Amino acid sequence: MIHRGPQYLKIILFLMLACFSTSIVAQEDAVVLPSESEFKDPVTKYWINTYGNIRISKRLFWVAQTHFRFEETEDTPFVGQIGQIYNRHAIGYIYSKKFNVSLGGVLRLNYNTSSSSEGRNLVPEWRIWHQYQFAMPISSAMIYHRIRIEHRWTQGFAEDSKYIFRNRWRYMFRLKLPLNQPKLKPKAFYIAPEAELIMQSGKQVVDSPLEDLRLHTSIGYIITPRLTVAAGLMYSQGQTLDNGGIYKQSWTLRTHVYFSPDFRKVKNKLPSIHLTD
Amino acid sequence: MRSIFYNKSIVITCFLVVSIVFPEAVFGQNFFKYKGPMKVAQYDGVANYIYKLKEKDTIFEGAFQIKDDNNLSPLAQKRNRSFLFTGTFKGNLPHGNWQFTIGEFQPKATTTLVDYQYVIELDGIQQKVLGKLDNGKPIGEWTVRLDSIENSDIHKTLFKSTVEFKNGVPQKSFHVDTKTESLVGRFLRNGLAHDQWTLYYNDEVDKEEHWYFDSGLLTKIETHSGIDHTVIDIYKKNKTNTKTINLDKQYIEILKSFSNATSTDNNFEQGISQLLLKNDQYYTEIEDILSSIGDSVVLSTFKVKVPYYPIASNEEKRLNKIVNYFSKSKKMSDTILNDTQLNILKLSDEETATWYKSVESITKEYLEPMQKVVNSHQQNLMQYRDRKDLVDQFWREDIPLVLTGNSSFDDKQSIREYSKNGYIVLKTTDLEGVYQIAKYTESILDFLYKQLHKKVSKERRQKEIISIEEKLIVTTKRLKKQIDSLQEIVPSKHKKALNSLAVFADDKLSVYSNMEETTKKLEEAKRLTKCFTQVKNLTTQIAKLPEQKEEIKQKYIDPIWNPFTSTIMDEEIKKRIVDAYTRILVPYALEQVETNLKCNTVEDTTTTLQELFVRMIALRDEDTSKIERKLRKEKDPIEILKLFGISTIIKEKE
Repeated sequence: MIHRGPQYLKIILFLMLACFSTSIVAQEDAVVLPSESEFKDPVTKYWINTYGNIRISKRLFWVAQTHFRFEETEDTPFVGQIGQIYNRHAIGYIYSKKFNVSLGGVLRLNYNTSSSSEGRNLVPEWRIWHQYQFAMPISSAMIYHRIRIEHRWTQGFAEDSKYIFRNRWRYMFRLKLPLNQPKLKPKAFYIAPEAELIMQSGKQVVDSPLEDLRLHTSIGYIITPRLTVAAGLMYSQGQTLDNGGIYKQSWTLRTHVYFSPDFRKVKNKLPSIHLTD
Repeated sequence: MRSIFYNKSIVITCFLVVSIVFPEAVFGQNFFKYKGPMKVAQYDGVANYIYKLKEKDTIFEGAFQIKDDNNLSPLAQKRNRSFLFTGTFKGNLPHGNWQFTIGEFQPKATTTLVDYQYVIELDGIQQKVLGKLDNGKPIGEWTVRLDSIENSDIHKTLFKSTVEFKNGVPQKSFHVDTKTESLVGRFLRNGLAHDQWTLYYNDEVDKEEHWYFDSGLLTKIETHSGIDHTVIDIYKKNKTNTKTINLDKQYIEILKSFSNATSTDNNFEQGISQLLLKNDQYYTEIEDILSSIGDSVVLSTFKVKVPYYPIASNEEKRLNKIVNYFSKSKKMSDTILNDTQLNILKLSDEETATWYKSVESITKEYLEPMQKVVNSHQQNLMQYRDRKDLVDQFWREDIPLVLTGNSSFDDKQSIREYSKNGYIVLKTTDLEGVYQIAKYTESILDFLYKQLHKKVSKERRQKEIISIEEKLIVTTKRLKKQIDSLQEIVPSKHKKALNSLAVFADDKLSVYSNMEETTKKLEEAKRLTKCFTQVKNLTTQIAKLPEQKEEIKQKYIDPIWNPFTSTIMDEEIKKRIVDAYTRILVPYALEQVETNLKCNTVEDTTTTLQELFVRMIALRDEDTSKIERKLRKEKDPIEILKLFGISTIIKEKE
């Protein structure tokens, strides 16, 4: 496993400053790409993800997601320490049964998981995001294409760390296939394989556009139309920002709770399904 | 000068105006002339008369005329009544010569031209009465004629009577002639019929009728017809208690009732009596006409004497009681004899036949003669009848004793004391005797009526129970058939309830069949028929439960949008309400059916289930948050039914 100390961070900081100041990067600090791509050892993680879709009008809904992301320590795999607490909110718009869009913000709290780091323990990360999701029924299953674009401000744990800005370009393909029912309905188990490619861009992104490739499969159970639970395993890999030749990897156990309450009065609910009327 | 002349002109002018406009005022102080419509008796016409006013009353004085107001059209082929009454009045009483003409004519279809005029001839009948009065009393010769008119000429005289009056009293003799008969009679000076009154038949030799009067008292009637010669004695001469009455309709009735009582062949429907009656009718009509104009006058003046037996107050009471008993008896007898069911029953039931026959005999032997007694009393003729032997007058033969065949009744009846060899022998044959018969008749008919009524009621009841039992059997069969056919389609938990309904019906029927034949059984049969019909409705309702349950389930599904799958999913809503229905209420109702059903709860159970279904459908769209909250704890079906607002609650116990 590769550990990088504060030294490394300083280098990054320096590089960033150099970029901003448009001065020529000193040769002795240049990042050297390995001759072959180098894969770090996979990190094990455990994510608890809650997804809320709260209906607020015939076509609008409030997206409220909170994720608790744990990761291993030396002693404890998966859940050794808290990694991030992630709050994603947005207002969604149901254009049709097959297409919806969302726009909102993210506040992610990043915990310093490096045992050797002397920087801050907790730093915030800010995003503006928008998403376009297409749904396609195929036989008894549903296929979803999700395009999510994030505008992201991050900073390091160092005391004087400045925010850097990046864009994230995400595309996810997801399938939900009912296992014990003819369609997705209450009391149905389903299997949901998904693949998401997360690309990034920004001044700091020089040789590492592939931020993450996530391959995740979960098994879900629809308790009611308003409550679904799922659990799965995700493998991911992606280039590290500072050296595109080095890839990080992770195995993540994920549990999901999907809830979609509707606090509207009965008379306002009707007709709940005739979206295009 | 000028003013005097001026005043005179005004006075003369005024006089002229008044005399032209009100000519009658010129005749004298109080006399007026009237010409205009008037109604006299039943005659509507135009009158023309002179009158004076005395304290605002009209007093007829002088000439009087009234005639019909017909405008006889030559083209009108209908029958016309015409009349003309003319005469004079003096002090509101007819005085002087009077003439009354009443005719009914029909114009002929053909007209003839005579002296430049079209003449329409008439056919018809004309009645003409001529006579003179003196201060309202007839005097001199009065004639009444009825002529048949053909081609405007008198064709035949149908009736003619001539009577001589003096001071309002008929005198000497009178004649009545018709086409075929001639009647001659005599009066005493005081107007009483006297001596021999004879009717001759113009076309038949040897046919005569004679009435013999002795100072108004009719003693005998003789009729000759060929070799037949009949003499009927009427009243004995020298009767002390007599009363003078008019020879009118009532007198003929007295004679009729006398004849009925004494079995004469003369029925007073023809001969002298009819001619006298007809003559009297004419005079009565003129009397009515004159009396309806001025003061009343009397023209019907033939007098006769009849024996008179004043009715004492105790007799009056007895007579009223007889009428009372009679009407009761008559009513019962009519009811019995006209009862169709009895008429049939008597063919099969000997006792009924005996009683029925008794009623027939009583009607014939007792009631029919009694009817005559009652009629006689009601026509006020009893006072002219010697009531000493009243029973014999009406029951001319011995009265047979009619028995009911029921010894306890027959023996205790006091009438038996008077029986002899099967006939009734009464102690007295006067009014009291009739009273005894009336009373006995009423009691025996009452007895028979009650007996026969019982028979008929029993018969009716038996017939009713048969028809009700038939109905009950049909109802039971239908119920069983329905249960059998439903068994195949309903789920097993409902089957149990249906089975118990079949058992329920069987149990009730077996209890019923072991009942004794009483009126209660009839009631029970009716009750069961109704009950089983209700049970049938309940089975229908139970059979409907599965589909109702399904309908409710569908109704309580709300399709909602699942944003995570982008699909629409059915959501079960108001689960507590649906659960209460499926898990508590329906099982409770079925349990009641299986374990606790009574005839008087069947309908309620059906209604509860029906109402419940309707409520369930309605609750879907109502705000039920309160109910749902309460349902969290409430598990008692009765309370839940109340909570749902069901008005008919299945009762736990009767």
